[in-house]
Amino acid sequence: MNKQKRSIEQPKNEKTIRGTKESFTEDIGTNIFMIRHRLPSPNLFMEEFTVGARTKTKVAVLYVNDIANKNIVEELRNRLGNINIDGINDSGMLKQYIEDNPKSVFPQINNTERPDKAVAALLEGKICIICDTAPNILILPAVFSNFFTSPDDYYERTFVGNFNRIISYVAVIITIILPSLYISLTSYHPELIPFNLLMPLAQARKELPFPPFIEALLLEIGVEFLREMGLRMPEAVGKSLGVVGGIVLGDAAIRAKLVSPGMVIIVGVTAILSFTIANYSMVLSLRLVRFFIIILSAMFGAFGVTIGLLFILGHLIRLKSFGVPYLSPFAPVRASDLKDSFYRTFLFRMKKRPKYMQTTDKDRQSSS
Amino acid sequence: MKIIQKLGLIVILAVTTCLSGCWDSKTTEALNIPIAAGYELVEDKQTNEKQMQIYAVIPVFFENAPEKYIVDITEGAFVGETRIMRHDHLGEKLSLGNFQVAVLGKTLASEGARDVLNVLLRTPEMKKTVKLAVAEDDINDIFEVEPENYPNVGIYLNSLMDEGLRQSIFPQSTVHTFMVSMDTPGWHPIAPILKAEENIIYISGYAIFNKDKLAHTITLPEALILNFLRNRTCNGIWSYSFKYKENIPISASVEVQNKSRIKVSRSDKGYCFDVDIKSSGSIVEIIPNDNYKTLDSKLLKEENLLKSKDFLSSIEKGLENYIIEQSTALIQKAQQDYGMDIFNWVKFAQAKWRSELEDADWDKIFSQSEVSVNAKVDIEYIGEQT
Repeated sequence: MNKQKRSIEQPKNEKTIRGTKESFTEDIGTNIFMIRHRLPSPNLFMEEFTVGARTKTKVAVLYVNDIANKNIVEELRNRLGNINIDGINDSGMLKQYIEDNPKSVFPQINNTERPDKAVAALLEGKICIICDTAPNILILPAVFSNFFTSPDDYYERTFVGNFNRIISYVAVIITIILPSLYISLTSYHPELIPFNLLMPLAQARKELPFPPFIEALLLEIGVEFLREMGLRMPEAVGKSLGVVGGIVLGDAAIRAKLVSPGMVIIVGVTAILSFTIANYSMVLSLRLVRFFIIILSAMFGAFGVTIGLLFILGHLIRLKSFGVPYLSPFAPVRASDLKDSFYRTFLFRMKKRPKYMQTTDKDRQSSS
Repeated sequence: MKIIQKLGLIVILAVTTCLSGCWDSKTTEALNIPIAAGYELVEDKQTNEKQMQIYAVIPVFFENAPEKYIVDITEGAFVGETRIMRHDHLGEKLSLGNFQVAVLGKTLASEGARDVLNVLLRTPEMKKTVKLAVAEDDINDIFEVEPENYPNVGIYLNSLMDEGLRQSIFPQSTVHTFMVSMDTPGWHPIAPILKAEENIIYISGYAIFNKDKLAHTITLPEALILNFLRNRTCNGIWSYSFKYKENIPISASVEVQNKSRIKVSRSDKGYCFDVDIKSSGSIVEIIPNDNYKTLDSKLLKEENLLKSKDFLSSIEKGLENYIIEQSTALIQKAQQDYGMDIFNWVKFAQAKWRSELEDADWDKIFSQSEVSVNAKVDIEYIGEQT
């Protein structure tokens, strides 16, 4: 039977200024070809699996044999072999069966729709899983910092790339703590607010019916509704409704004195900044973390924010992705791997592959 | 086991909720935020006893309220009692975290402000940067001012005492620095004196304290010299007069940065202080005293004075003489009239002979010390010369 295929299109969720304009499709053969085309090495090994007793979904595991860590490959084989289900529809489902800690809010396996990102991961010693009928391929193991890197970080000049990456980390911090910090300051520690900021804040909040926590919750949930609506509606309608919801309703809520302008700005900035993060799964995870810290800040103020952040940090330290500590290279600290973490050094100085991957071939560039 | 785990989780959640601070949270909209306060002792007409009177400037945030701020006046036997009295008529809780300026009344300052300042300093919410001043006349005059360019008198006072003083050559005083000076042996705290006239508040001079009691007041030009002699680096504009070529009287304004260095030595006669004041800056204005016209015709154009090195050195010499003259006069006043080390030079002596000075009457020693003042001024002309 001649299978109808969607043609190769531009990436929709991982856009970059430079780099390839191709993205993976639902066809496993096409996806394998796209990787092979970019990495025509005889050491690029592929192993095929079939997952799903009824769907018989083809799953291809790709790795560079003389780079990848054999233990991780073996562990992946075991986990894929142990899946016992009647069918899977997407790589997202497959991911949940092979993750180290599926109960965690944080994704431990990266995914991409970009072949260049997949090839870069293979060259770092990682393993790619291509699932038939899924346009996103899985990359494992994944550490926390991998979710904040974009191909543009490497394609642009070093300083520009570094700036982008630092912006991305700043966005993460703001996304997680800004609303909770606002709630704790306005509800518990007004004396910590600078004098010139407190006066307009107090004035704006004076005749509001809700405390900052309820206000933040209402707005955050409103943003969630808008986001969900934007995903489900046809693109043109979704955009229009987003504008109506975001601008018109926001403005009306301020005029009706239901919410303060300060809180609208905080929630708006947080929502915008959350989308500067390169990986959508991580965006969704951090959103949940934000709600968790908002609740703690409403209960305990800045103390709650601190406790929440410590709790999350503790959880992140405990997490592993196929045996690789999730917070590598920060915890445990591997100084040489920091070259490509919260910043990236010059490409010609990245001579070694990440140590946390424990690759077979450790050199990325020959010493000569 | 699972039931026990679930029960434990429920208990933890319940305890956490009960322990959480959300019951006593204090949101900004439910607070009264005093910006400035005045403290004065007044006589109770019924008992003839002195009572504490406190003026608090509190902004009103309700949009449709007729007044944008209130000056709340309460009286009580002591500060704590006035706080109790305040709660019987103010709707919201007081938040002292953004309190900016404290003004002491003259009577309170003369009788001792330690108790009031102690309360301010020990309030945990209170910032270290609360500015301190003394009212020259009735403290009520200050808080009755309705400023035209500021939302309320509290913000006016804060601007005057914060940015205003920080940009000037005059010293700034905070409750914290005042208390440190007050409790350091041999030191004398100072605070600016405020005067209100026709809806304008200005700094009319400086108050010098002996411990917590107002001892003397000095004028603004004296305060300027005091600031140099207190070994502080400061920027500002100085105006003075001098004679060019011994017969042309000229007034000059120069913008300078001053640094002073004080050396102390000891001889058989007692302590000797050598004060070196260094100033550098540029000319702001040069005006011949006798006639404005000469500025254009003779002095500037024909003789091209501003390009003349002689003229610049006579400006520098004039300022040097002025600094030495004014400094010597203030030092003599401090030694002979006040009998107080208003410059806090005890710290230089303590650095060398601390143990010997522990029980000594430093003010008396200072009054008998020898002081020599030297000044070095470096002035340049900047800008286009016409």
